Amino acid sequence: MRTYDHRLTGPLAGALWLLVSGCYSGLTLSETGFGSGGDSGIDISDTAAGGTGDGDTGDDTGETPEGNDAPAPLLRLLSTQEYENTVTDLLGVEFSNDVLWSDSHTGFDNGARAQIDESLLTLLMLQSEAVAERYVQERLPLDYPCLAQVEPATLDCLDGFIDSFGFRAYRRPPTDADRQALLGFVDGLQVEAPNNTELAQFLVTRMLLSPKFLYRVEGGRLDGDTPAEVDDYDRASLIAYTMTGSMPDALLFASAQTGELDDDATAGHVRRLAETPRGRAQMLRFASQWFRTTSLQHMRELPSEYPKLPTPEAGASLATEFDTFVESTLLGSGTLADLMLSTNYFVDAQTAPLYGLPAPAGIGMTPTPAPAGRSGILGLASVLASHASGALTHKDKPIARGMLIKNQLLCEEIGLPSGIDINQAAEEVQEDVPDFDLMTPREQLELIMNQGEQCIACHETFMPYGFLSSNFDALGQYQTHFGERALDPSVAELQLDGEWKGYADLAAFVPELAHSDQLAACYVKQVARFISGSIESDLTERLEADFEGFTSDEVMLELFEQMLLHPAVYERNPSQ
Amino acid sequence: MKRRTFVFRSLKAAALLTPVLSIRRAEAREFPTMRGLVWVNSTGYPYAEDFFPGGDTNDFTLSPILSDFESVRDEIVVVDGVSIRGSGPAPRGNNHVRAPGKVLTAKDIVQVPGAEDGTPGGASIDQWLAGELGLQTIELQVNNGGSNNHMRHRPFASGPGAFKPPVDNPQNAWNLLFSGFDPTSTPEAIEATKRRLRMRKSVLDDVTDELSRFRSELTGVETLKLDIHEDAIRKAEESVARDLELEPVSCTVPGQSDGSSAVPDRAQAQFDLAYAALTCGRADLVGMIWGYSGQHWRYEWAGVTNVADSGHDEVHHLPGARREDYIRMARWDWNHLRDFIERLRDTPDGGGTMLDSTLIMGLSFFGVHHQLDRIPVMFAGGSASGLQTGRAVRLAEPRFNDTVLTSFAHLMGAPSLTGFGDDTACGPVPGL
Repeated sequence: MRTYDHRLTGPLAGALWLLVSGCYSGLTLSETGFGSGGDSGIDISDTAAGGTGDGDTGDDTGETPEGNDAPAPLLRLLSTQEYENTVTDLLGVEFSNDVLWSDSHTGFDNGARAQIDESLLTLLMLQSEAVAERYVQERLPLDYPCLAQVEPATLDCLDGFIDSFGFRAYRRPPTDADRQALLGFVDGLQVEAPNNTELAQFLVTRMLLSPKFLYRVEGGRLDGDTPAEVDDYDRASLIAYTMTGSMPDALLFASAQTGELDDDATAGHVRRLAETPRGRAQMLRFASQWFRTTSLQHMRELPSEYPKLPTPEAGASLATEFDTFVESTLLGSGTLADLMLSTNYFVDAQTAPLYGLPAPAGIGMTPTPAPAGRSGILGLASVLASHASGALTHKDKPIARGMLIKNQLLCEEIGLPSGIDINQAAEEVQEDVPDFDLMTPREQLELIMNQGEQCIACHETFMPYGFLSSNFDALGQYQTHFGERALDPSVAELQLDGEWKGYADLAAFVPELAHSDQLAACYVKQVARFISGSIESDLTERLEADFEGFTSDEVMLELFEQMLLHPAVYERNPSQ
Repeated sequence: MKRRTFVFRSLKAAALLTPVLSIRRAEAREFPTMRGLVWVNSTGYPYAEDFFPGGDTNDFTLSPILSDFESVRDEIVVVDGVSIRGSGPAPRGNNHVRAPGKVLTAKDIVQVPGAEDGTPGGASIDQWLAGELGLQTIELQVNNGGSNNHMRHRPFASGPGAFKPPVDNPQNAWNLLFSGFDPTSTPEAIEATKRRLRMRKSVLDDVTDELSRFRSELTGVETLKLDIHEDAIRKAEESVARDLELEPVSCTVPGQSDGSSAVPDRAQAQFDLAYAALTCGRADLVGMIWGYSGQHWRYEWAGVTNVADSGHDEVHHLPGARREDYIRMARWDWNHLRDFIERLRDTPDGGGTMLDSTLIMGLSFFGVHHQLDRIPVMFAGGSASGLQTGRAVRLAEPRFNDTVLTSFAHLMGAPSLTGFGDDTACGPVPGL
């Protein structure tokens, strides 16, 4: 793979084929001004929303002045998963976060728009009290014995705790003001918490509620008003949360502390972290959200919600199949083409029958060659099952599968129709066409969409992608007929890399998709969103432009590494 | 569900209110202190006559969806002729985001660039009232798990761009409302509770100071997040301070939810918590969103047996062909509100009932299909506010929901509000 050359400056908007398809044109953006009445509760006088009345909430996606494309400094509230991971790694006790608050406007759950309101704050306080109590019982005597003894803690003991624990909690050295404030807090607690155990418990609770713990700061501590790179501590956090969804580990902290977090060190940490259990879990999370297979986790936990599953255990097996395949392709030295084309599948006793294979001996996933007609991630039963009916085995949902390819793999957005009563159209077809219920899902949808030029023009941009997998049912099983009717996965015309062409089925399409410029560019866009927490910003646009030459034959993880070496990822402009 | 007696109640902490809020309280003195429930759903109806009553204003016939409301007919007012203004962005061309974003704010939403999402254009009426009258609120959601971070789930907002996300897990809602209180109420238990609350207050005080320092350390970061965070700490501190003013009170709170994510269980649990929050004085105003915009419930619990994956896709999208199923689903939804009305009516409170001093507003943010026109609107209870119930009001001229929200504010004790949302002069619903 080529390395990033910051002399490269591609077109900001990336490839032309990534332009929004334009199915929907009814957006009206002119009426977003705020009136003078009806607002209360939050003082917004110094935000764009309050100051200009232009509807900009002052978040991270605003325009930047021409010629100065470094984004503004950013505050990113830890996501639900990042919070759980960080508390666990910081305290070293088992912790399960029961509160959900992540922002997923990017399609990934680490978006930068999350906020903390009163209910969330209170719930975090209650959780913090509970986990701090466990920490004091289980870990404090080992980590900080001087705080676990009966005698009152000495100032040295408290200083040592604040320096050491505070450094890890805040992901940077506590300032003198932090130290004095925490000592003052401890002093004020002496009456209510006369023993060390309670005192330590509330001190830990207090630090878990610190904004320095709860937020990732990207560039907010820059001096002056010119663009500059964030410091090594913020850089370490950005690397760690991208690659592991948690705080920096000891080695990364050490590099930040010694000022040695240069490009070589960054590259080494990225590669190292990707191999850790947290790193592997993070990449699985990335893949799962990219391919929108998060329902597999639901199938694992609540199989009864999916009547199509042949057994309750099948839900867990499908989820494991996805993870195992992704681990074998995306992780390590897998390329985008490997992910899309690999025929190294994995089955267990639950999933083998879905491929027409005999159940393997033993427990767990067993490697097996993919049956004919399947390859890569799109041929997995788990992926096909994620984008299909949860109840009816025969219902494959071409719209959902078409949108997976169109939205997630080609990064083209489809709007819902404007001014058309699609519900009425569907209803009329059902009433007018004899034997409608006996038709294949494709035949039904083609009838419903055939309501006029506007319907057809939009639907033909994405539904054919879904038709390609018509011969895989809602469990990903190969099928030739729907009742008495033959299934037809062929598509006469489909657009890829700007060209129209026909395909016999998914197996014929996937090899071309795998090597398309469009897929490679979309992967670049998705990684940029994942790193930046923004769906559309100056940073994502710049990354897309500068990595425009990425190809499907390059190692997928190296794109993470190269992007995390790109100076734009760390550059912020305080004057924005 | 196990039950236990909850024996504390917080005083209305007038002394803790800011001077500004105290003055506002004084201005509203002529009104009784009202409690409230704001209930919003995406239910809609297949045909208008399936929801709106027939007959005359005072002698109306209940519609199929409201057919089980006979027992509370005298406690409700149904309003026909209200729409949500069809202005502002509709991300990706649909009302699934715009409708919940506008139903309680009456302000155009702000679209998130590049995403099928939006942020609120202003405060929702419940949060506006909370700020204006110093009310304690809680926001709940009935949903069967999954993420809820989209505007489709979030009709409540404390200001522009500032969501007030509802709590969908009843266990978390219970913790927010009742955590830390010892039902045995021995003096030792009371003191232990107070000590914990004092320590909690110390934590929050200190975090307030730190947030201020944190803000001063940073340059160029967005301020809205910090503003919202600061507001959250302030409200949490006020809540703890109120809790420190304990006095014994007899009320019953539900036990902790058993963790079931089944919709009927969660619906019951959340309404139980809403009831307990109001009767125990733990909240003055409860907001509740029923499901979310486009929820995929199957409604087998309501006797709808032929939905494979999604009641929304398979019934709401086919209101003509599936009219009976649609009505059955909608009736199940609205009957929960009826049960709540009955429950409050059957709860003595002073010389009357809880329903007398509790104003309920139920809104659907869709009319037929996904349209914003002629949305279902129901008021209930609140006789102490002067609301004349037992009526079906048909508006001579269509009005927007800003008038409904203004009426709600007037009845709750903010009579000087001239309008709400994008039209600050809209006035209340005529004839309500």
